[in-house]
Amino acid sequence: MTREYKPEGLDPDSIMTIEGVTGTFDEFREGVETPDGKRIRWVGNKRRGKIQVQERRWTMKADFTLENYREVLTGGEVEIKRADGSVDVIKGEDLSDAFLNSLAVAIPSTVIPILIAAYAAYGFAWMRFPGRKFFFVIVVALLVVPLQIALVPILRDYVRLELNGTFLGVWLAHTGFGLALATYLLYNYISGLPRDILESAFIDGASHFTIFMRLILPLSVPALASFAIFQFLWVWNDYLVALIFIGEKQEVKVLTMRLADLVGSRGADWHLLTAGAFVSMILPLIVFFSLQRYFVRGLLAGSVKG
Amino acid sequence: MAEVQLVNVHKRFGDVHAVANMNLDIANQEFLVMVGPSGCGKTTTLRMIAGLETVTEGEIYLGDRLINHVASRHRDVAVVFQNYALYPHMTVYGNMAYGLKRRKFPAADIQRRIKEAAEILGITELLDRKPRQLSGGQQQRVALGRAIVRQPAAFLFDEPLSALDAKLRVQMRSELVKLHGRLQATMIYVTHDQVEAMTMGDRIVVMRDGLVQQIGTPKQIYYQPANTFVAGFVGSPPMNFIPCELQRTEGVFWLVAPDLRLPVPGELAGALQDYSGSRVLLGLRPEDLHCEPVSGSDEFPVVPMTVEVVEPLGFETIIDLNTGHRSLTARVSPRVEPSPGDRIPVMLNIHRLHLFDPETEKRLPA
Repeated sequence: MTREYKPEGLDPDSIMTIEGVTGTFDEFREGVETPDGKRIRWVGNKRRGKIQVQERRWTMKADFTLENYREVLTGGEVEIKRADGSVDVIKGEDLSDAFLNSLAVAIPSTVIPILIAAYAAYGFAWMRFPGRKFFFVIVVALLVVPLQIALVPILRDYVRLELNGTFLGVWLAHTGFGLALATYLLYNYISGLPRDILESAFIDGASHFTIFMRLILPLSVPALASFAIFQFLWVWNDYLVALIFIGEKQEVKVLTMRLADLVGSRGADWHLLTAGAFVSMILPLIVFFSLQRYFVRGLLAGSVKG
Repeated sequence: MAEVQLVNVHKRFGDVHAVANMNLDIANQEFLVMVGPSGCGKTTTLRMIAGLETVTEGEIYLGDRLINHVASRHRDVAVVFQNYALYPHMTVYGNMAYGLKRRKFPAADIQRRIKEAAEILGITELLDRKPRQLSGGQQQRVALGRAIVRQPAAFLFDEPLSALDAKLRVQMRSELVKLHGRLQATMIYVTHDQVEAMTMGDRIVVMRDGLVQQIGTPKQIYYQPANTFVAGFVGSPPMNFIPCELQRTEGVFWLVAPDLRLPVPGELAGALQDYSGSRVLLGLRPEDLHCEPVSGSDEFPVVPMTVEVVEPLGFETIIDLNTGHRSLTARVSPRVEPSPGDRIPVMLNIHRLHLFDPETEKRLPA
């Protein structure tokens, strides 16, 4: 908090006492601290200067507003009423579009790898084929490959296939990067299901496919849900993969990219940055709290039997 | 309903010979029990019949059909597993209906069969529940029900009672026997519990290390064990074994050990001519050691022994005795109440003795 007033009855050329502290003009130009934490400064020159009292204090502006959210979310023009009663018409930041883009990226990027990985995990766990162990070791080994290594070669192929800047390209990238972990996690869970149940189903006349659809999927819901949460949150918060494979295409940009743009273009407007950040957080919060029992149970899934 | 036939069946897991040269004819409507210690190959044999394991060598027939390469689901057998293996996300009805649905039975037929099976097993009021809402005994009934509704050619049981508590096990044992009488189906039952084997089986197969030791009725297994393993495995407490030498004096065979000298009864003597002077293993069941007079016991040789431990079980008493050279176990009537340390005369029923070759472990006379 700052308050200013004109110096009255003070001689800048001698030692002065202001607000209980004493000092020369030069000292006050630099700022003098009072014992109770205030800072006294002389602002301006000797003849026409002002005394400034700077004080650190928590303050709050109590009037609650959702205007900032309107401004960041809408793509059209918004009328913002200022404190002095004047009305400004401003172009919105259009984060709602980016929000939908993020959903359009995150949902398929979660569902596709789970579908593929569940099939793969069942195969690795319960079907006998030559090279089963070898391929599984390769899948596990892929876990340690950092995705940054793959960015440039994949981008080159995408440019050739004209997949860069499309949702499909991002889906495929996230699917590829998530598949190894998904297969490994689901394998651990599915291979821990009791053998008797599967054998019983075989004898009851089920094929591998019906066992997968009617037994494995319903029984693996905790593991599937836990991986879905992981993957969804990771894709939703992802910036790097989106930045590389979407690039500068304005209409496809996801929320994280638009937020980064916002920091660049409206970096000083904290009311917009915080509103935008909250918009990007709200969905992960909802996902986490609505599915948290799977989250906790799922972390243990596959690690301990039963 | 069908007979099951195993011809020279082998099963190898890598270097392990899990089942070796198994030959078995299981008659239609027979209740056959396979028994043996864990790892003896009994479950592997059952799984080969069920089609859950491949057959390394040999042939398995169900009825007239060679089923070596027939998939489980086309074999017309039903398996009841040790841990029941119920589908946890389906109701009891769903569990029982699943196999029939997969085989495309008409809905009315499924309903009728499940109703019948549920009545037999007394689980009609449980049909809407999920398996986790049932007790162990009820789950076991559902697993049985799932097999019954299929009306398979053969029922295969893989230690189905071992997960139940002792009391329920006894009850389910007699219910299974009743069920067999009622369904008149071929049943193959695997267990490691010799009591289950003795009480339930029409015939028993005793196995060890992948080899069939003996096939016979419970009486044959108990009274004429083919070798020392069968003799020691069946019966509780187990048979007493005493290494002896077979000596012949004045036309009578004697079994001689440092602490014993027993005449061999005349009916055995004829067949033992070739074994004169050789070492044999004498087997005596605990109930053939008597501490009080019984009919015919005046002819039994008497050996003084020291009482070591007395275990009264209420309906009988188990006594650990010591001859000075070895410990023997006797099962006597509860009226006999010796104290540890007493030296008492023990009558040995030599008419019920068993002789084995200590080298080959086979029963003598062969």
